[in-house]
Amino acid sequence: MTNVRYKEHHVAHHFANAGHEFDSAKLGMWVFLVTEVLFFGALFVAYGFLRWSYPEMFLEAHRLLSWKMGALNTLILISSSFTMVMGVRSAQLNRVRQTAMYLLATILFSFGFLGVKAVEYSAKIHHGLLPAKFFTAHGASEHLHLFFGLYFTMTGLHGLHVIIGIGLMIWLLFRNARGDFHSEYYTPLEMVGLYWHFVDLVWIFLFPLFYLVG
Amino acid sequence: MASHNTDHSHHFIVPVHYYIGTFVSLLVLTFITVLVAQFNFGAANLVVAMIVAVIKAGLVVSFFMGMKWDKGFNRVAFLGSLVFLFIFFLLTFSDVLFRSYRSPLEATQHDIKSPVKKLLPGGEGHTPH
Repeated sequence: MTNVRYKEHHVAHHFANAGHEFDSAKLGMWVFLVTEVLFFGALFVAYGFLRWSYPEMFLEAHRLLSWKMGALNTLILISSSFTMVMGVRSAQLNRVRQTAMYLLATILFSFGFLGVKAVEYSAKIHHGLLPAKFFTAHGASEHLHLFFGLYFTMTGLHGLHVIIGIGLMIWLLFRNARGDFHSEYYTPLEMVGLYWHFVDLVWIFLFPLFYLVG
Repeated sequence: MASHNTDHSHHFIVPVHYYIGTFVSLLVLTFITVLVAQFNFGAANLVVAMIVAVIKAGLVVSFFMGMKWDKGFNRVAFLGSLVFLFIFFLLTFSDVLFRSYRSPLEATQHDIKSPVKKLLPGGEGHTPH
């Protein structure tokens, strides 16, 4: 891959130059992430309300989750954030093959994350630890279904973000192989990177709040 | 902006030791938060877990997301979201924390029945794992 043909990037006509275009894209991405903060923020407020209302129930409920699985997924996501950021850096240095390897590693980590999540979800479903009226297990607290409502909503929406992230990274892999990304143009890589770190950010809070209650 | 090449900020390549340092710090902090959770310090557990999570989040935002080298306007946008999130929490919990009476979730109040089958004292039913 030493003789990759880089595709020259044409700055859209409404931008003064490449720097202007890049900065505008980045501001747009940050504004999107702001809406994401508020979107997940509402769920964290709901979490706070229920945890304050039923503290003993949360203690009982979190023992039904495996903190080892949660910790494993934390390590996986942190590693994937690292490979993502290294992938962007490789593009800045015109290392096309390295960019592809880092993107591939990030995708593999993402599938690892989803795999662990699938094992957890199937165990919960098998035991009837489900939201609201779908809850069929026994419990000391009569509010256990509320915990699993939060758990499935928050980790489910987070998981959806992971799935979307995988799709975006596959798209980046194709564009990278085409020679779209180089030191003069790597905007999509940078933006997906920001998105991916945000997904990591949400998990950083989900992990202690659901798996390490006390 | 401390960076001397603000006109070409997209050409600035972050030295790799920042990324490795962040990665290692995140691993260490994850280890700490799991370790602390193995002991029961009461309410302090949540406080420690949240402090560690905020530090981790700060590292991710500053270095992985490059906020440390980013434009001031992007910082304002992001920090603005945190301000509004704080207001959301503040107003909600200024109500929730100081209620003298909390309506229980029960059939008589809202006609909602809990789907949870209560564990009997004799140990009937099972705790799934």
